[in-house]
Amino acid sequence: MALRIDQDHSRFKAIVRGKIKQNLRKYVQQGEMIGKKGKDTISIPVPFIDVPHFKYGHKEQGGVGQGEGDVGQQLAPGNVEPGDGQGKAGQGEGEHSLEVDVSLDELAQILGEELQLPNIQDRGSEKIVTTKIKYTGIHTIGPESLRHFKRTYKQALRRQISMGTYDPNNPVIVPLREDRRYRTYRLENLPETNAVIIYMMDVSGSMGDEQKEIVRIESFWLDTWLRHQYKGLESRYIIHDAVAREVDRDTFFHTRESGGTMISSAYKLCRDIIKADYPAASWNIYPFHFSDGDNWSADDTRLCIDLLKTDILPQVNQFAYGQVESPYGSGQFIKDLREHVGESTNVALSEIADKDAIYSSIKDFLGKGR
Amino acid sequence: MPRSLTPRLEDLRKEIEGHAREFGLDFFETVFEILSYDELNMVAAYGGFPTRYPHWRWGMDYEQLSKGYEYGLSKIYELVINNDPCFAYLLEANAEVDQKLVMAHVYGHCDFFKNNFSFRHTNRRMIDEMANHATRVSRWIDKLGVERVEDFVDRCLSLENLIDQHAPHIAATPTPSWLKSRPS
Repeated sequence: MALRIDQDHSRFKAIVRGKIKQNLRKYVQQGEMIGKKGKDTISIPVPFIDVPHFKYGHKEQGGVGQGEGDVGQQLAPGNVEPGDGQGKAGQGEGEHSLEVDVSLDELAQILGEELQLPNIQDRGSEKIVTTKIKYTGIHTIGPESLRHFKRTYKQALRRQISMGTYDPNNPVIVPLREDRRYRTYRLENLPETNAVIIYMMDVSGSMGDEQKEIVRIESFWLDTWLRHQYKGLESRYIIHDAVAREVDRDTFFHTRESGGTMISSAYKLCRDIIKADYPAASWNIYPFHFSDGDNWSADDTRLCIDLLKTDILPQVNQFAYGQVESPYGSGQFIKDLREHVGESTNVALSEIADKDAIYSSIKDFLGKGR
Repeated sequence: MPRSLTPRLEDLRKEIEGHAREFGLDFFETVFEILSYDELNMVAAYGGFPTRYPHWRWGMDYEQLSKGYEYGLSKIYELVINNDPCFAYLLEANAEVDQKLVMAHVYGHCDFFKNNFSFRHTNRRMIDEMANHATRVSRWIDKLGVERVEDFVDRCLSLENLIDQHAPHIAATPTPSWLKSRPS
């Protein structure tokens, strides 16, 4: 239920987040509540704002208005009460942190506004339909499991009163067969949008921890955004070196393998997954591939481009390739892609040099609104 | 929405009221209502009143109270307003023994409200007055825009600690006759 205070609450959150009223934001302070979870203490951030106040002096003595005074006499504030403690003030600026807990949905909204991401035009939304049961009315027949107790009781009560068998001193109501009332339902068709992200990552020897960190951060944001756009988003994860395999999310981000790089193996697997589980007519499909761009051979690259052109691109909303710079430099693969499929409208290519480049890379990937 | 007491609680209330009178307490009529925890947090954030003017500060307090309750750090048992009739709120989820304790406690407050010297000048229609203020501020917001009204209210709030809380008592003291007759 919506409470009256919700409007005040969201206004406060907007101020804290710096959306409105910059002049108030400077008063935001970071309080916290300390909670306990088992043995660990946890800190729950509670931001608050204190508007500036006039303060009374320490004592009603001294200060301004103490008489004629001599030239040069200082207008001193009231004496500081003893006991305020001694010691020097610290030097240097402290670290100001502001932590606002926001829901992922809000985060996605902020991301969208910040990067000016277009909302996704989804395709096939009319084709996909789920049926939902909606209870619409009351009927005199139906299964016992749907019996409406209150309506049945009322009906019986009404009948007994009109028949004169109702006794206020002994108000026993006995429903007969014809008193019973049942809920009825209708099956409604609801259009539904389905989306799947297929993450592919190169885990060959040249992809270090830092590269994986970049991929992890970037895929978190992609995930958040697409989740905001589609209800019921699915994710699939593929890792590959010279061979590809499907893994769970945890493995995806934590595997360190070594070996060569055959990107085509991942694309083949991606194609097979799409073919098996996600018919293009009813799914919005987003393959994201991250690699350092060092493919094993030109032959394999050619194979990749073939796979993309004939199998993957016609099926998907957008194919995205992010090339992460590794200690061994940035590879050739993105150039090959740019040359052969860079013209396609549903291909997004991005080079991610370091963590700071994630921001613009997200924009490269999501800026097309597909 | 506030709900009135369940029949069971109403019976208990009558019994407790009886005990309170037996002990010689004298109070305004007291109306109990039951609120869910988020409603109770809302009323508490409004400074204990059901209706206030729109302002972000209530939202801030609400967030703090809600988090405290949701993480199990704090819990409000009771709220009572020094109004005539007194209004008191019970938390829906409390156990019966808590409710009994709270109701008995509330009657103590209400006796104090009615009879304490410091409350002589208290406006006992404050709930109505605050609701009127809320309506008035909302009307201003509709007319002038939320920014302008909020800025103004923010400034007022930064002065609120300068209001002399003893002022009603001082103003109520008649000027002594010797002071009046003194030639100026």
